[in-house]
Amino acid sequence: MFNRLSRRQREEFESHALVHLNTLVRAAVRLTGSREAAEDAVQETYLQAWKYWRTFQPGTNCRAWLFRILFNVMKKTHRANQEHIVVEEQDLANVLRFDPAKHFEVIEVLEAFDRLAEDQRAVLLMVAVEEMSYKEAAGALGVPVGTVMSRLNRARTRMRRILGRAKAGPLAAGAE
Amino acid sequence: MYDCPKVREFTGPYLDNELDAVTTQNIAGHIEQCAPCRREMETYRSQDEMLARSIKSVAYDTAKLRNSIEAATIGRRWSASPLWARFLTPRRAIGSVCAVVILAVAILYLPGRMGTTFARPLYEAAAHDHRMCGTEAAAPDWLRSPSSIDELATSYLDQKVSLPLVMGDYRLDRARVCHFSDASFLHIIYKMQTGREASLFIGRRQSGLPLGARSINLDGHTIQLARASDLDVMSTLIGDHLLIATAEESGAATSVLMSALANIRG
Repeated sequence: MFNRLSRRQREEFESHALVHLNTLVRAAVRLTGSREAAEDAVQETYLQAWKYWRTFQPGTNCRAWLFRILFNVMKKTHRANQEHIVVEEQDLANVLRFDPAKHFEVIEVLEAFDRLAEDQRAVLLMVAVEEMSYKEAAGALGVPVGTVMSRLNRARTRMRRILGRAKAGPLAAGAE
Repeated sequence: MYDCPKVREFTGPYLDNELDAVTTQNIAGHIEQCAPCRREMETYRSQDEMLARSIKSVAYDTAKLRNSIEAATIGRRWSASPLWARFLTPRRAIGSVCAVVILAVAILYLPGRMGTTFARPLYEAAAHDHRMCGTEAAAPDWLRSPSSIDELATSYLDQKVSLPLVMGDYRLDRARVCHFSDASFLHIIYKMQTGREASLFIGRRQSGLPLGARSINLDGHTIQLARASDLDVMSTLIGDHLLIATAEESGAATSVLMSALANIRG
């Protein structure tokens, strides 16, 4: 696995790729439903990124590139374990806040999010949480922009329905 | 101007800033006058904001994972060949001897300089205060209940703040206002069961972000990294505030700083 890169490339890997570690772990936990599976996926993601670091184009979006690798890793390794996604107690312990109402709100939202289909969670994470553009999210997920739009529409509508805030309505046009 | 069905069709792309200027203007014009569409838009906007806030509020301690990844990637370069093997060629041997001589001269003739060049005085002072807080843990001016700490933070920052009680293995322990480098700081301490502590300092922004040894960009924030003896120091600016986090584990300093950024408005 050792990859003989120049000192500058190693420094670039550290400053461009490793700085996104927390973001990737956060996303992977929400997508796999398990801290352990998330850490395995993120570790494999970085090993792949290291292996192919020479192919990364400086100046392009490293975070989106890492997410693309993460999604590929998860497709290969996590498919068998994803039938029952729940919010883990361990995660909720980290959410503890003094304001009980806010704490409850966080739990409610995370539970609603975790009930979405995996492809909907992924696209909502990319766009609503990580604030990626549709084009970046499409690149990371390896799908067309139209698919990003339709999945987002379904994800937001379903979230709204689960949260029971109002009768859901269609958001945006777009066919998968 | 668009009608309601047309606006509903573009709600998602409008919220995500994915529309061209003309369409955006048309939708903005409609929702300004149409209360139901405005409410619809706000519902989805607040749902997205709530989701982002909820997911970002969960902090994970990634120190062990980071160590493991670094060992398997950038750290592996040192295990590729024994250290002594690097100095076998005559040119490298001569270069190494010269480097040692220059280093020795620098140490002899610049006493007191080594160790302070990697961090600006402000970061050294923050690290010193962090070390002192362990010996002054019993001092009466520490606030220890989460509600009192939140109240102090809210009052100090002029905004409602709710600090996370737990960040990975670290738990919110105590806080007080301290003074160093001619400024006052809100000093918040997170503590592990083993006794290891991580500090977060929040102060008023004086000017720009003081330089550290190097800077990185994390989640859109410019962060200065410095080293003060055995401590990692990280700092950034948010609005009118300067944030400094320090801990023995760089992962802990990162978690503390990023959690503060997630909870403090600019």
